[in-house]
Amino acid sequence: MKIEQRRWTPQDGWKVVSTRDDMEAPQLVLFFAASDAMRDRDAVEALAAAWPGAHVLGCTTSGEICGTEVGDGTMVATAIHFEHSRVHTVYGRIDTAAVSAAAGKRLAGELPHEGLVHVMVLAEGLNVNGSELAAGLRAGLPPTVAVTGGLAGDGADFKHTSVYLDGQADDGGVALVGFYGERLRVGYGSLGGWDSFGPERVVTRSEGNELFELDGASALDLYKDYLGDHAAGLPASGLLFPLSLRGEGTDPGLVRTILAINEEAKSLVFAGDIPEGRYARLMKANVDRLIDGAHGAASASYEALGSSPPELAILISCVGRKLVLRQRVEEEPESVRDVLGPGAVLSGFYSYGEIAPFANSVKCELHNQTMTITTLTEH
Amino acid sequence: MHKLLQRQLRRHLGGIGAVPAPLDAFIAAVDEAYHQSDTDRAFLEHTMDKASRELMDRQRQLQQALAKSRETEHQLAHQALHDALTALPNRVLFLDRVEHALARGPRSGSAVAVLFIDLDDFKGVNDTMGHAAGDELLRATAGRLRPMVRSSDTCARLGGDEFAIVLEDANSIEAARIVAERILATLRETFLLGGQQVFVGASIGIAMAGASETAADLMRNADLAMYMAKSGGKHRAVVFEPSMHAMVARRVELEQDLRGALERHEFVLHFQPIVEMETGNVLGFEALTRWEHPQRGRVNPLQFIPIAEQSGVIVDLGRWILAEACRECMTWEGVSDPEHAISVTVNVSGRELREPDFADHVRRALKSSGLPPERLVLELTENILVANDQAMIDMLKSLKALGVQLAIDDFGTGYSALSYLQQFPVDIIKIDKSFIDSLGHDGEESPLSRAVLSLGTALSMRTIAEGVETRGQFGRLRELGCHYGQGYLFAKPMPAQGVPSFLKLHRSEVIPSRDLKVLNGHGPDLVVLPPFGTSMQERLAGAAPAEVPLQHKRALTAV
Repeated sequence: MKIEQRRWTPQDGWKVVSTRDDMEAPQLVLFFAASDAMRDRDAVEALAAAWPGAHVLGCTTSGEICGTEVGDGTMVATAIHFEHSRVHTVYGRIDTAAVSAAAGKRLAGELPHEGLVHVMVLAEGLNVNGSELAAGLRAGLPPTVAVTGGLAGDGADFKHTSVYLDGQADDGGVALVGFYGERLRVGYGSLGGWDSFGPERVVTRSEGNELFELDGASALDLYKDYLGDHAAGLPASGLLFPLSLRGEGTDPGLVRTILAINEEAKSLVFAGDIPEGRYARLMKANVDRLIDGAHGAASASYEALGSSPPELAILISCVGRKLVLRQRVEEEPESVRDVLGPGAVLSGFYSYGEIAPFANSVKCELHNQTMTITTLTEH
Repeated sequence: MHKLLQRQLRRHLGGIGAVPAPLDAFIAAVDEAYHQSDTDRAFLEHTMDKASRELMDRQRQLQQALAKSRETEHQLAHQALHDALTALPNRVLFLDRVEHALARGPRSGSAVAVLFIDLDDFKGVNDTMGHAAGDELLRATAGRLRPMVRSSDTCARLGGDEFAIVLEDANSIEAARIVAERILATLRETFLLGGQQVFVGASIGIAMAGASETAADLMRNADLAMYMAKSGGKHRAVVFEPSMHAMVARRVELEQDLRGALERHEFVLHFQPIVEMETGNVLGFEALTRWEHPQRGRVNPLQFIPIAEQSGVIVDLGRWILAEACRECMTWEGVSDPEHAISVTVNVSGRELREPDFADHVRRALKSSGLPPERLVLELTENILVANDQAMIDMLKSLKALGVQLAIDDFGTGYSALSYLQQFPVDIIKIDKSFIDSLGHDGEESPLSRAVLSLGTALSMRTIAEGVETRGQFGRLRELGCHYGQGYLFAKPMPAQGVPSFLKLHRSEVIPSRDLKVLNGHGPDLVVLPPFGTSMQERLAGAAPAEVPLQHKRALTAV
């Protein structure tokens, strides 16, 4: 695997960050772009021009990770030449959230399943129902193939996100990359690090990913009460209070992040389903534990590779973590670097949702507020 | 700039002015970090404050829920041991109290008594006035019983119309009996249910704890004594005696025997004539049931009629009596005076009258025997008049519509309000023997007797005096205007086959009234026939039977 990494800034355009003397033509270019940068279509098209023949895949972000640096308003491109592996890409549109599962299943079916090792997904972050998309992907893929990826971000604005593949950047875009090759190893890990607090409440009224009532009272009013002065900053400030959800018994809990609020309906729109009857608790951030979470995710993804050190790590972290970490946000990639070692190229973005299996599983789910790391290596 | 940063810069570098320009961005980052830290802390504190308050609210709610739950628990515990209707202790708690009293008894040296109280006419109230009235009666009963006992004693409702009282230190049977009498007196007073006056009364069994009785023994004994009070005629208190166990066993046997007695043709009818006071003509006969038990011999109606009523045997028995009486009556056609058609009187119990097809049955009995309806008299007990019972009034009206005559038996002994009498289509009232007994004895005559007789006259009903035994009674009844008489003075009840010869003798031995010198010169025109070998002259001359066997009509009223 040979990797070259470039970074684009409005001032300087594309600059090479790291490369190899023996760099060869990449089969895949992954890029993560701030919303404004994505709109600079010349800058985006420059990637295809630089690496003709490669699939160019990217999405908008709430922050771009390049090595251990986190940028805003930039683009980070990672060109990957696989020596022993192949990739396939598919692109589709999801017009309404309701068809997310069906679209996920259809796209998964379009990827050749023969020799498929792993799938990475990038999806539009505001209109796609991530939970349903993950369910569709699970249904459309062989049960041994895991999916990792995330939902595109838009800073803290929640206005417009997009996914790009080889010149297409439709609304509601979803792109899949299938990785093939016997010598390819893929690891993944996903951890949060948020703490639940306060009383547990039952979801008493919800529709899909829209939450109306907890314990029979308005959920929006509850959030406003807890946010206090920060309520004016909703929905972005809602990221400070993700919701942990658990079902009955040993169901592993999920974390859900606010995407939008609806003042008229007195509802909150989350980046994933909030089924009625689930038990919900507010969560709060603890900076040290968020960073520990990134560390833990890195360790999990490394362990999955066995003895081979990772060559590439794709970090997809939730925008909510970034809002909490602020000046300390780069401690996330630094802690990842500590685990993965200096040989791994780190690339990634802050997202509106992460898709990865739970630990010890290949069943992908939509997560919020996690650091989700996918590591790749060829041996 | 953050105040802390300002102070630190002042203290360590002499102020912001001393900071070299290249460090400006660094200072700005530190300043922002300080401010962020403050914001974060304030936010966290706000959050914790909200969460604490919420948790406090939850805690308060939980405490309230817990208090409510304890209250409910307490109520449930109370409900488990108390009767919901009357709020009196229930059977479980009562047994427990009896057990405690028994355990304490030997130490305190006092005797424990249990009173078992059963209302006498509760079912009638429930059936005729509805369950709401029944419930009201039970509550009112509880209200009357409660003040009858001391706080150390327990008054309970055991279920249905059964109540019980444990007297924890009754010194003697007499003390317990006094309490029982007080209870009888209070329950004998009118109850006002839904604006109507109702009389019920109660039967009470009393059992004193001996050396070895358990609570269950004591309860069983008191129950047994109550049962004896009930079968002894109700409205009384009876003290338990060990012999009662045998009596009950006998009763159970009797009940078993009774069930097959009709099929085995063990019942026979006897007939007692009813005589017109003025003319001496035989008006008719009252049919009285006799049970010829193959082992026990003749069983007293006092014994078997209540059992037949309680077991329901009375319904089939009553139908047989009705059919048989009608049939017999028709066989007397040839021997009776053609001018005075003989009627037959049949006793009907309340239980039979509540059978919806009773009127149909009467019609069939008349049809199959050929007896003209006006010659059948149905004798009803006064207690059916207890309440304003529309179903009963309808039944009596449909009987009247058949053309039969209706008589009220034992008139004056019941607790019915006389105002109800006019609602019922009754033709005849039979004056109870207890009112007749005092007649004909100078100075002893009860004004009540006269009142009852004049009431019948006032209501334009024909009157029959029951249990007429002496010439004195006879004469006085005539003076008071009583229409008919029945009793040993005229004739004892006789087997069916004796009736034709009685009637023949009656017609041949008519005694002209002018030949009679009776009752201090009063009451001429009497024509009476002496039965069974005793001439009427002898009788009216003072040879009335020295001892009159107890003929307690109450026991026969249902037959």
